[in-house]
Amino acid sequence: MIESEWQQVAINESAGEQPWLILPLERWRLLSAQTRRRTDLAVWLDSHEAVESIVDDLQTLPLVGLNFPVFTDGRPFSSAWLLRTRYGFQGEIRALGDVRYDLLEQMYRTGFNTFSISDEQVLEKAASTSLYFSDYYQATG
Amino acid sequence: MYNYSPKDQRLVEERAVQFQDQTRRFLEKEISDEEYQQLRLRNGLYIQKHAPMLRVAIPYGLVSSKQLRKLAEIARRYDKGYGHFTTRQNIQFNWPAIEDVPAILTELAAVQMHAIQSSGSCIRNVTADQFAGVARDEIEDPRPWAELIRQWSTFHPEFNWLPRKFKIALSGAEEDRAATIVHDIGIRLVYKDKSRTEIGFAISVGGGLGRTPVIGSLIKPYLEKKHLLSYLEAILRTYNRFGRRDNKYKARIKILVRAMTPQVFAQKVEDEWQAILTSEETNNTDALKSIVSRFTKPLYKNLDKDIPHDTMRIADSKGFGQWLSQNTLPHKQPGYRIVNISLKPTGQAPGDVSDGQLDFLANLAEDYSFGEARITHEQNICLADVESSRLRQLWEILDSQGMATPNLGLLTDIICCPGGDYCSLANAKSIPVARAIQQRFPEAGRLNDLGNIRLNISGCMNACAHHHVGNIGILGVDKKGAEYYQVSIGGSSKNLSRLGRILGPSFSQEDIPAVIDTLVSLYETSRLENESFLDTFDRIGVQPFKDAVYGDMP
Repeated sequence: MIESEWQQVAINESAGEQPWLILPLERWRLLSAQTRRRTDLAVWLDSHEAVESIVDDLQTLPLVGLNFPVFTDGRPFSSAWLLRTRYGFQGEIRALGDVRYDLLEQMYRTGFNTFSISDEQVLEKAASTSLYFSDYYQATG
Repeated sequence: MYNYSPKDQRLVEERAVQFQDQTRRFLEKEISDEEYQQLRLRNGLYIQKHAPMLRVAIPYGLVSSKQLRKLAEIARRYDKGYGHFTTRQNIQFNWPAIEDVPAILTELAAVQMHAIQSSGSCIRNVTADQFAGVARDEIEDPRPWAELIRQWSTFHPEFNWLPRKFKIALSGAEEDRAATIVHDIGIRLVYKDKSRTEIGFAISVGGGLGRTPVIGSLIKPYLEKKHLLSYLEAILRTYNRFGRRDNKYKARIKILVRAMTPQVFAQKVEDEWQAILTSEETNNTDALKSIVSRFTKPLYKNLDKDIPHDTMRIADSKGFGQWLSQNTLPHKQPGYRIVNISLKPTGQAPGDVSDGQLDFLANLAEDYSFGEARITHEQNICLADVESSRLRQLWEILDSQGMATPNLGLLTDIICCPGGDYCSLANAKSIPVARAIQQRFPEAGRLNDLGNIRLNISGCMNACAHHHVGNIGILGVDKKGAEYYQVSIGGSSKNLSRLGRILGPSFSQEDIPAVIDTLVSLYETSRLENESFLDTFDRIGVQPFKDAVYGDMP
């Protein structure tokens, strides 16, 4: 559990190109190829945005954020899985948005490895408990 | 039976602990109603009209004597002494207290049962042919494949938050007794070609009932066995990524398939599947082998041949004869028969069983059928492996308990949802309608003469009782606050699956028995020799039925 240096930029939020920003896809696309290779800039995808749109940048991207607009929207699980297994992305995959405690294990299993949590209660619970399951029927991403 | 591996066992135990934690946090108000709703639904727990309802999974309908006794105990201790078998081979308890549910799960886990994914927008309990392994027309037993799918879909990390619920059914026989074509995915074991040497799968997708009934589209006529899970993964990923989430009435896969067209959807799945094949280890052959080794096989006696059916009938009473010809079926093993126990005696809610009946059935299964029973889609119970020479004895015991109703497949073997008496989704009651129809046809003679007529009653558009595919379907509708019933005819869930035609304006509850009587009377007077209800309907069309029912109306 850490205070993250990365900061998510919302769709209509203004931001420069200062370090440690996670930019929305629209903004990311406007950056030059050279800027996109900076190791202190990252991109986040909303649940309807396809991972295929960033495959060319995966070699150098340090982090990909995947947004859960609501916790019942399961599309980011497929995005994470594809990033790991199909496109071999080794960097950080961060869960953003409506991140609930009871879905953390499932997120981890599809390839997420960091989770943006602001709710104190959820943070506390996440820090003090372990996984519910000792084994799975499926591979982990 | 499939016997759990240590891993299977651990997972259901850990699930009970997880649910206990989730429920505790809900009761202590750490999580909201909205969040707990999603969590409890993925464990089959609904909040209903009068009380919560817990739906326990019975994978592919197979249940042991030990499990039946546990269900009886749960009905006694935590419910009002009964349970309800559903059209998806599950059992529902209508009166448990929320705070008791974790304890119920722990009890279920002790007999290798669970309520995992029996509701919610996820892959539901997998269903299969109730006569799997014993049917004479079987190509291959689908149960090991059903178990493979059960395991693969259990807590699948990617597919537990789909746009909407997702149902998979399997059949391994010539006749499709699992109604695969009206499921989100229907899987049939088929021969590759006329040489009948290689067996694989035919996969259909996008079937479903509910408010937009659709017959599924065959998107893969032949799939090699080793690719089953990778192909399912491709379908589910395509659905999870591209299915609609903006409107829950348009979120089922059938809507996506229709919007894309089946051809385009099939191609999209094919592309995804090819990509999976190159990046993941996907052969499911080893997993299947280990599953097969965990299934017990009935130790059949070496009986020379069947006792001729006719001899058994002549030798015995009329009641036995009727039951024998109506409720039992030929078995692939010589000297054995498949016995069906109707849970549709007149006056009892279709599919309901008491704790005493569950215990009684557990004993019968143990004494007559290798300790196993099956729950059928028609909400009856099947003892699949009964020695022909013991049928008379079994019938006497059943008859003494009022469980030998010889109406399997007949008009009074009504498929019925819990309806407005229990379900908060329902527009209208369904159980009293079923009872009134049963009371209208008291004579076994006429019922037998009418022959097999499938009648389904759903209390609302969600179509839990599959009224669209009933030969006669009844749907509860709300007409300005009053309960009315729409009648359709000509549906079928068999191989030539199709949806019924709506007759016309709906009827009041009191009118329904007479309407049904009018419909079957027309069939009686119009049929040619040996013609089924469906055949007669096909020959004369819907109009004569409309005229008979509405003729006198202004």
